[in-house]
Amino acid sequence: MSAEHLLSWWRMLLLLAAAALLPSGCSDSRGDPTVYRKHCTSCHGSQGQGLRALYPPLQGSAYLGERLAELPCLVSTGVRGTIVTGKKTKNIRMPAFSQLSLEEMSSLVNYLQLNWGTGGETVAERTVAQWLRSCP
Amino acid sequence: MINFRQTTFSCATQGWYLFILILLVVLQGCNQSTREPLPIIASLEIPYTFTDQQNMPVTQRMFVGKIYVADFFFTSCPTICPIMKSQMLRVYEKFRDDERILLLSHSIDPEHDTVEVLKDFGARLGIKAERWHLVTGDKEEIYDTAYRYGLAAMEDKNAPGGFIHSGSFTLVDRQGRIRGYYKGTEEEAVDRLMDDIGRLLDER
Repeated sequence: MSAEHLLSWWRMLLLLAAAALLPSGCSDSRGDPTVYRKHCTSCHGSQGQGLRALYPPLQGSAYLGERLAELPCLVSTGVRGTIVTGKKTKNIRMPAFSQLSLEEMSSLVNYLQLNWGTGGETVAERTVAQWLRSCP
Repeated sequence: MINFRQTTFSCATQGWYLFILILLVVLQGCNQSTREPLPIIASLEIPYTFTDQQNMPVTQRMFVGKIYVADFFFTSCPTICPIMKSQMLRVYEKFRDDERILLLSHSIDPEHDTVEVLKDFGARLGIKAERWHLVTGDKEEIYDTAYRYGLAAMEDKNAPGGFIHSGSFTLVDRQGRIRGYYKGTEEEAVDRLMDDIGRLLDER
């Protein structure tokens, strides 16, 4: 086998390896979408885009930034009335998702944070549990 | 070296291909203009008066001579309604300046969905009430209306949000006849709905 042949085989192998790694690599780096797809997509959209002034977009939300610690409580107890994010006051009605387990809530918080938040460090389950204990 | 015979042959072949292509395009055009008319599924008779987000009465008489799309929803629905509304919004945007087409969404939770709630919902959606009526009214009359449209709507305490309802859009023609059902949660079905509205517009 010539050197040229060997090189093309090697390239093909590399491509195959990259293709095999790509999907799992993507899902790892952007978190697990299972909980989001099941409970949140219908209102906030598959891309977190929301729907006009009816359902807010997730990108740039204060609850995925400096107020991240309040997010598990917001999801768990829902919202009825006004919430203040940054300089804006919004009148919101969001159902409560109190049925989520701690594992599901942690997975959701991390998925939201990685996709539309600051994308910082992964939040540990015990931290989410701590945040949930201090719900108003 | 150029093979002359082969070149002339391929030119002739290309000519034939072009001819067949043109024929196909022409036939396709003919086919579209002679498409089968949409089936007439049922004649509607809605004897009730509902109230829309502008606090205006809404009766079936307002829809005579109009093509319209009807559905059933509730504003606090956590499941399929938001997707239905984003799809209905596509229909609204496509025909928003066409006075021949109207949209009609009935709330199946009229106790919560008062005129005020619907007004706020419509404003957040950024829609005009004259084009897209969001209506509330007597609960039993709304459920009976859903039945007349051939759609399911009922209370169910175990369902998310407390209600079960169909996610379908019903297309009604100028004579108040049902001409089609479309899954309001599927983009392709709603594409077909918009295409079928065009077909109804072409009907005399």
